[in-house]
Amino acid sequence: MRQLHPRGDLDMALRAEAIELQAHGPIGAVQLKDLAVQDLIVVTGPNGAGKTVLTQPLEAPGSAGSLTCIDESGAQQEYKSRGVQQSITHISSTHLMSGFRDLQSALALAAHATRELHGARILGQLANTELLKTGAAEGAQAEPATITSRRDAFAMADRQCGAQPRTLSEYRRLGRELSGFVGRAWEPSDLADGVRVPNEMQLQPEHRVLEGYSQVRPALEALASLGVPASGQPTAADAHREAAVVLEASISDALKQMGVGLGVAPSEPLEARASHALDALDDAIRATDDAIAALDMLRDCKRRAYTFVERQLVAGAQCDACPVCERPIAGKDLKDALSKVTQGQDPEAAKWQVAKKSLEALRSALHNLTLTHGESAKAAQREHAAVKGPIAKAAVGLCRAAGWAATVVAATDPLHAACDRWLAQHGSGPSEVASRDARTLQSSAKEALAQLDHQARQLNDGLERWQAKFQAFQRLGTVLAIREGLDSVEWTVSLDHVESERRRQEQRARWRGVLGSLADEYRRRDELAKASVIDDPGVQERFARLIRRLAVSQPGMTGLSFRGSSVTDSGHGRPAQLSEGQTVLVNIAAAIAVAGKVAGTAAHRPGWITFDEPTNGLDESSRDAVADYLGSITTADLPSQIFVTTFDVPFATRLVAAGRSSGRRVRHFELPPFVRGQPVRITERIA
Amino acid sequence: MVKLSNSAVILLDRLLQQRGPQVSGSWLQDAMAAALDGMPQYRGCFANRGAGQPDIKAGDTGFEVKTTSGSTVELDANYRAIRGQFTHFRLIALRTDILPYHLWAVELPSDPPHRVQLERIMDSRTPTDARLEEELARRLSQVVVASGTAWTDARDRDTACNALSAAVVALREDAAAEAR
Repeated sequence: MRQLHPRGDLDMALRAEAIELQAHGPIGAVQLKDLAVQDLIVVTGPNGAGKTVLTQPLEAPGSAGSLTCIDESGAQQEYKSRGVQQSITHISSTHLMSGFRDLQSALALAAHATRELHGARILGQLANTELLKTGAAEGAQAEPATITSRRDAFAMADRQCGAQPRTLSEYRRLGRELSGFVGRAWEPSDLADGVRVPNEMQLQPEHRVLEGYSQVRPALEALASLGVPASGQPTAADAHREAAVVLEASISDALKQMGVGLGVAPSEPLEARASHALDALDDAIRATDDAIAALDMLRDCKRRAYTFVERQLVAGAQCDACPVCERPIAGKDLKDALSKVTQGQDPEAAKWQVAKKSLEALRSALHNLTLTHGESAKAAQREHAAVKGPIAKAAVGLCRAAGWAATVVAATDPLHAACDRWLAQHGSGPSEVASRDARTLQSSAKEALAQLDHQARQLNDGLERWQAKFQAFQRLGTVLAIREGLDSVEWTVSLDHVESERRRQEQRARWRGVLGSLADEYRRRDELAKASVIDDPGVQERFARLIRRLAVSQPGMTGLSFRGSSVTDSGHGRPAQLSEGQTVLVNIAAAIAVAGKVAGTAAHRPGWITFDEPTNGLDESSRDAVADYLGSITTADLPSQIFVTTFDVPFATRLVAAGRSSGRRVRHFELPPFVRGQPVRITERIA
Repeated sequence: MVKLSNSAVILLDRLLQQRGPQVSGSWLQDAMAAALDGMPQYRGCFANRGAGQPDIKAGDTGFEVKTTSGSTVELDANYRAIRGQFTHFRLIALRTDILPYHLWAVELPSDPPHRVQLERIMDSRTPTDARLEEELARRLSQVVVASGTAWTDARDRDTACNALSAAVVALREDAAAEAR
């Protein structure tokens, strides 16, 4: 790295010899000479007289004026400020009043510290300047906002499609399949949402119904559950018919046994004929009873006759013949006959008794069969009624309506006709045929129900699968639409622009690197300089000595110490609390302590220090204290020239007196009020 | 030099952000092979999934697929060694440092340079095949968007290849339908 100030440039401490202001300067041509042998130079004048202008070459010679210096070898040379010594050589009232921090910055300059720090700061600022940042140049690769805003939506919609290929043909294929399922025509349309979405919605699979089926289903269910026994089981009509057959046979049998005719026409109802047969049986039974009674009477007569004859015979009467029937009677025969009449059974009577019992049995059986027949007739009626009602209702419910599905019509029309037919044929009363036909009707209704149920199920078979397919179709449509929108956006980049920007950024990065390392070096030097000046034990000692001198007139200032960036009260270990006057005194002491360190060294060529209006804002006693203190500075304290500019003539007078009493070589110049166009004539006050 | 479709760039960028340059480079090789396979002159080409070169072989033509985040592609000595095995050898380069991505189909000479500079106007030693660029960019865009996130977000390379295959089949159907 280049040495900023090669030692060859800095030989010895300089002393100011002559200040010469240019004619074209603010106050015109002015000259101060023979200054090098002076230790304290005081310049007074009213505000605006040009005091600061006059001392400006001490800080920065240039267009305003020049400064001639003498080095320790006695050679004269023109002073060329390098802009680094200004603060140490020029302590303004502001510095003196504002506390130690600003002064410290000024003092640091004495050892190049501020110069280094300033350089580092500038380099740091340069390195961080917007121009050197390596970010992408604005607009070089700007992504269109329409693309940025749709990026996430596109990715999200695309993810919804899963493994499905995102192609137009896939979209069309799904559309065609759905079109076939829902039975609606579909043509792929413009993918713009306003057109695409309604077009897609036409293909939404919905739950489908067999038109008319819900209307006919109750009728079919009623027919399917008709109250007829299952096939193979006898119906009530069957039972009734069998009861009639049995009853008919029973009547015939009874008539046959009685050996009589029925006395009513065969066309008469079975119930009437049965009633007649029962009446005939009753008559026959009664006749049999009469015959049995007659036989009993006859037998009793015979017994009586035989008893009479026997008694006659026992009495000895001759009785050869029966007095009743006049048949000849032998004695032995009589006894046998009597014995038969009295003890044995009458075969004739027995025969009649058997006949009677037979008739009674017949009657009982016929009676029971008549009752059974009657019951079966009622059961058949009930059965008929139970079938007729639903069939009649079904005949109404199965009436076809417009819009019914063809399959529903095909299944129900024959049933409807069968119902009507059944009602016409069997509506009047029960019969075996009616029951059989009802059973057939029931069976047909069951078949129709099963068939239509199957068709209804088939109609929605895989509905969920189709609905899933529809969702996939919609998702695909969304992706294709977003994609179309994205691809229609103009998105270009100038490759030449990108390349030139990249090269610029590389250059910037290189510059940042260079400036960064320079700044690091400057900072390092700054730290070294600070440490060598501010933390220097000699500076600390000199400051302590100057403060001790102050303590004579300013009690309580003996515990101050100067280290780092502030003055602290060592007795309390905290920043000192100072009045304005005390602050100025402390800052003068600090300035002189540091200047004493650097003055006359090779690293700090100017051998002077300037105090510009050091009493600004001070009261009279403080002003006097500053004059006394500044005047008391000896060449042992500071082997440099002290320049003081002030408007305060009493202060200047006191300062000059104090300086002379301290053995310093003093000159006091006075500037008149400045009048434009008139030459400035400096006068020197001689004590 | 051509740019890909906006939607394809978004998907490729997603792949790059999610997988990093290494993995996305090898997956892009598969997509490139799928795109080349759709071109009659390179039908039946196959990707060399190993570390060998070239990345894709199609008869007497070799393809090297490179993604780069700058304007240069470095070619090592192997390319010069392998170049002689093919009548044509093309470098397919995709610049991912600029959006939208740009694609170059560079015809490598018999004695390939160490470095190919991807410029708007290419060096005369490494000219581009403009027709191939246009066709490849179109087909690559088609393949990428047809496979979509099923490819970019696939759990592994085989699954990603399956997504590409399904997309290729669907695209062929598209082409056949258009021909009808």
